[in-house]
Amino acid sequence: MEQSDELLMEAYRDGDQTAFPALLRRYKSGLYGYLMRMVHNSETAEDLFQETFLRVHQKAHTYRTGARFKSWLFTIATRIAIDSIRKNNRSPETQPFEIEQTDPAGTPDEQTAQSELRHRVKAAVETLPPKQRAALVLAYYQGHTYPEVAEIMGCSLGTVKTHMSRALKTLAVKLPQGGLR
Amino acid sequence: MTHFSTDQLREYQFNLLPETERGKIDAHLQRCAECRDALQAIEAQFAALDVLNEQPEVSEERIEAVLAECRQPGRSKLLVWRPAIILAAAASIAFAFLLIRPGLPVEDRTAGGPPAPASGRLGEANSTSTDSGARTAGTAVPTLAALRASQPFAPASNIELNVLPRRDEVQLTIYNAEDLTLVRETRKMTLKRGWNWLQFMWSNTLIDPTSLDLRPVTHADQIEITQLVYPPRLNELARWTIFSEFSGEAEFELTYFTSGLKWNAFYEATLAPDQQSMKLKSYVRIDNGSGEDYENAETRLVVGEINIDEKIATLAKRTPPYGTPGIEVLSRSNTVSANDKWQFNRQEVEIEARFFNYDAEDIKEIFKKALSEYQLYTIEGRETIRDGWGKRLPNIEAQEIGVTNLYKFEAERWGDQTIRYLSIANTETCKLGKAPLPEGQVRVFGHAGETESLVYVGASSIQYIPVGEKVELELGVARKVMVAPKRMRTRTENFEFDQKGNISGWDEITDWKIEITNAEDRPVDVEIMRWAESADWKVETDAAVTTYDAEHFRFMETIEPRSKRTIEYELTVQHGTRREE
Repeated sequence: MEQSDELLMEAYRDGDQTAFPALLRRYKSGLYGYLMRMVHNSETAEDLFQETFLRVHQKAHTYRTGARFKSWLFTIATRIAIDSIRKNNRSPETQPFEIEQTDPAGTPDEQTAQSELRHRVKAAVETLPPKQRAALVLAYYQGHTYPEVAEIMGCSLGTVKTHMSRALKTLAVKLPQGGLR
Repeated sequence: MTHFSTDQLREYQFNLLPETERGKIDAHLQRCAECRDALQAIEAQFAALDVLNEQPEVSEERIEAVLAECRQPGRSKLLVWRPAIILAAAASIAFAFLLIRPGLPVEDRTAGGPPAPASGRLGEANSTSTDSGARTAGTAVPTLAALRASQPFAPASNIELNVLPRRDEVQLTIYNAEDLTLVRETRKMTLKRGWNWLQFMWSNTLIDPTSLDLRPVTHADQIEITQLVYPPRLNELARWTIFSEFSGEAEFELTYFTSGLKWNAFYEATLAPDQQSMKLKSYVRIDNGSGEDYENAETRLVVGEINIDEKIATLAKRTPPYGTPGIEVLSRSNTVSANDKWQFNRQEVEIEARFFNYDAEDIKEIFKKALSEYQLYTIEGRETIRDGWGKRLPNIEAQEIGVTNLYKFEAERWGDQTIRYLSIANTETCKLGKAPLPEGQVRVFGHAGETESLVYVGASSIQYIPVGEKVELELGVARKVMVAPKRMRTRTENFEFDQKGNISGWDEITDWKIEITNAEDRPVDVEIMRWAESADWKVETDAAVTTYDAEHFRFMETIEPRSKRTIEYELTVQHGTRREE
């Protein structure tokens, strides 16, 4: 049976060096996907992924037995991502150009339409303030419940709902009306 | 019919409403087609979010990079700027700065050049202009003066950084009197000609940021460390600007203070069966709670009081601004100056001698040096001391150290109990005496009867013992040596009278009998301290008695194995006018 995240983290905290690579690989998609949706840049997302796991390594000795590892990991990642977004907002020219990925199976027209839609959705999400963006990505894309999002973001349930509500209101204006076409 | 607003329906769709309100909307939607349509439109619009629903994976190279970085020993990190391709914008800002700078050669102004602290890894692609500028525009190499004039601003982000190679050497000097450790690291770094940035981070450690000091060990005449800055909004990091007249590798020494490292000495004494000698082993336990791993560290321990204005732990926890950085380190020798109030004079540092010679390879030898009124012990070899760990290092082992057993009795201190003491002298005749012994706990073990098995006899703590001094270890209550004083008779004599015939002075005479029992299989020395309860007294006895102080006298007796001995004495205490005689 696969060991739980919590057991792996406790093992690493207690000196088992094999546990950390296992944890890292377990989240190579989930955490990276989250960071990608937060910053929309693969290089920056990889940097943040690296920074997040470095923090996990550095703070391993503070990990409390029984604490939910995933929440702890996403808390660290969220803080790092929000910091990064704020910094990049101050110096937007450092954002490198990112090539869009489209579905190669579609027709050229469909590919173009999908690329355009992706661009608009990304642009819409990027306009959200960091905390609203974090609430949206955690709840909508990562599938966390609102209480879990509150735990990750270190705020109340009401605050999470407020972030979410404001994010949705902004997106309602930015997202194309009529949905997917 | 009153319809719900789009905002309400959106919050309904995303489950943001309280249960009661949800219930109302549920009921309303059952009978309102208009609101159902509106809800469907919301659903369709937000379905667009799903285009970002893919699950990308981080590259395997990055995973390996994380693992490699985590395998590095320290948590405080020296970082340098990574190659600058992705930071073209930063370079352009720096270029703009260069263009408006007066006095720069024309070639440089037209070169599209470069400064940019972000332009490269320290020693690989950095420098303000030389390589990138010359390469891209084919211009002449700028002069040092031109380079020097283009000192860059501090970079604003800490994400685009690389980790430097691990520290080459580290030396810890732990001052136990205060929670203070001087860390001295050497690291080899590759510099580029021109300006270089170097970043130091100390998050989650107890390093005092105001004490950071960096200086070149090699090429010191070609390297200039101009400033140390603590960038705004970035906590727990500092950056140096370094100007190098050459490209290549240089060795740097980084010193700083940290707290959280402590050491304690422990002694383990095993008495020989005849209890006339013992084997002494000592250990030094070092506990690292500094937040930093120190690998292969040379460890030095300092005994002695020092005086510092502020606790390092307090300094380490301070938030920016950190105040005046820099500490004065006089040289690479053992001489340290961190504060005017405590300064070591190098001339006073002399290696006196090795502590002990031992055959066992795992036993660390301690080298002692005299630092003015301090004692400095250097533990031989190098040890890795990780954060959160304690480590016990074997220190000395000496066989057949002569000891003196002494049983003490003093009713005013211990009641009717006899206390056992063991005394050793830090002298060569006792097979010690090469160096002072640091303070610590001593645990004493003895042999149980004729068997080889050991029993715990007692523990005691000792203070710092200089060479030539004697120390007594209190081992607790003795069960087999008992002292029982009995008052036999009290009378008054030698009355004196004043002019009116009243008593003005007299002697109070008490007869005492002290019974000493030795149930041990060996002779024991017993010291019996008695209190006269007055400063005017005299004792008459056949036993050996000496005056201890104004109100105390003591008997020293050697009692044969399994025997009893009785001391009798007469104590005369003078009162009133008798005291004046």
